[in-house]
Amino acid sequence: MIKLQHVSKTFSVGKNKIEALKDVSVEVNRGEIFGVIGYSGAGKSTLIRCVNLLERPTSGKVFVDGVDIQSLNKKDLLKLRRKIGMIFQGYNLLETANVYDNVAIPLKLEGISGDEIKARTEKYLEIVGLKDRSKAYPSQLSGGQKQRVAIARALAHEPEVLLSDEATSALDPNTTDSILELLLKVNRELGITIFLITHELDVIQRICDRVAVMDKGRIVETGSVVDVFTRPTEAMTKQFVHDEARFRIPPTIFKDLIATGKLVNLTFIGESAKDPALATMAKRYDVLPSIIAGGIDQLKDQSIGNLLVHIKGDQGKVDEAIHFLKSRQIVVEEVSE
Amino acid sequence: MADFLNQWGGAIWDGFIQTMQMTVISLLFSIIIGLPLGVLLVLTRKNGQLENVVIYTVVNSVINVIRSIPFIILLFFILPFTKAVAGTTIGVRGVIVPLVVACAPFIARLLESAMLEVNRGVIEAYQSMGISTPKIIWHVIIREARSSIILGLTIAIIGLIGETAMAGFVGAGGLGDLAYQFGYVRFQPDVMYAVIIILIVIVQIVQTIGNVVARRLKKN
Repeated sequence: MIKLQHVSKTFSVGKNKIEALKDVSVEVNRGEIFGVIGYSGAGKSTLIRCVNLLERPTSGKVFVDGVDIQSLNKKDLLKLRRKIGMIFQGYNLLETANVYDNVAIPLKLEGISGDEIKARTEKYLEIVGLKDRSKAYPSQLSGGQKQRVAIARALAHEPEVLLSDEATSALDPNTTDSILELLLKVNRELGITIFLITHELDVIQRICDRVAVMDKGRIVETGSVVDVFTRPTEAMTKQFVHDEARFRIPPTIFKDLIATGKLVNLTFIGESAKDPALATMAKRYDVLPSIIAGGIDQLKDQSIGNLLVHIKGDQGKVDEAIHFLKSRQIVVEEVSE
Repeated sequence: MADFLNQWGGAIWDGFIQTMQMTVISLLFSIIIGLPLGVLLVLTRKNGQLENVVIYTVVNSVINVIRSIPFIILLFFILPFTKAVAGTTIGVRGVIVPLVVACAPFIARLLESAMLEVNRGVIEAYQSMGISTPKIIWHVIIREARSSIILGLTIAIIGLIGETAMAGFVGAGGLGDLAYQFGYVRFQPDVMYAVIIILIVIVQIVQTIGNVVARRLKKN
């Protein structure tokens, strides 16, 4: 659906050249939700803006639906952009227009007939749950409601792809949840492909099928959300996962635990959660596991459980026990620092 | 009072009408010229939608040059130009040209700053929806800036009223001329006072209307 090949983008600021994107290749499949995560300044915004050429790559190619969009003339580019909806962190609504007009005006400017505008505006305001606020002005709405209007505005063009530029970054956790629910609904019920960028791990975990991790203008890791977050290979990905998903143990407690046994972080994915692996291990290897901390994360299609376990016992037995856990489709990571 | 009105009422009314004529006509021409210039400045400036250093620098400099010249001097400085455009250099007709030359760049500047206040993100959102630049200018930039534009035009109108006072020098009449000719030259201060009061009332009304309209258009 969307394919970026060896895309680089360099900005000149005075005499300095800033490489925002360095040889980035990404492919987003039709129907999926693809997320790019990275800290601010990693180049995510530039990347997503290359998809509709709000930013033109310095080199490399961008394909949408197989079309090399940089070869399009002005008129065709405008047409293509109508197939690609976009929502933003700052909502970007007209302050001088009410909710209804914010959705209807772009349709009018596109040259769509009056009846069609009315039908679409009502339909999509209904979908985002704001039909009863049609007459309100943006200044009278909450952040979440403004983002819903922006989503309705994007959907009203009936796009095939929705680009989301940090759409939930300015929202509180509850509102973020409801917007993510809405994006899932848009993806599942309307079949719209979603390409989003974010710095929030939660967003990736909750709704994305696949993820790319970005650092300093490069994509360092790509894969399914479950893979990338249970078996991160790159330092940057580990940092993200550990920043948010792992447990923080106070240093003094940690020291005691390390002195008396081994500390392992176990990640259970989907079915493996039902396997009584810990009990079996304790019985078979004569070791004493104790659970220090635990948690569960809901990914889009499955859940991931995390346990921090302290294993006490004979040194050789403990190593065998850990080896056993690894054989049970549990991701085992020894924690030593 | 009755005596004063009998003696001066007609002259003051004529002056009022002349001032209004000069202001309204010059304002219309100034908007017709100033608005596109303002849009041009916004579009061609650095990081604008149609960035063009040459056009921006030329327009920007010309506006600065004209705005540097005090109106009373501009009035005489461009007499040949006035003659060529209006066919005369005197009367209301003769003063419209210099008023527009002075006011249009001012309006361009005011509208430029009003339009620069518009959130770039909104413009970008409309670009992302495949809306063409001319439509974005009218339906997004000018629409979103309309409240500031009205406040800017209010400032321009009040400036114009002040400039019409100098129109007397080319025989265009108006309230300012009346105050000068009779109040100062012939030393009849009550005429001057009357004119000042009328001017104060006009300016108050214009500013109040401007504020109310701007607030209505703002919608928040």
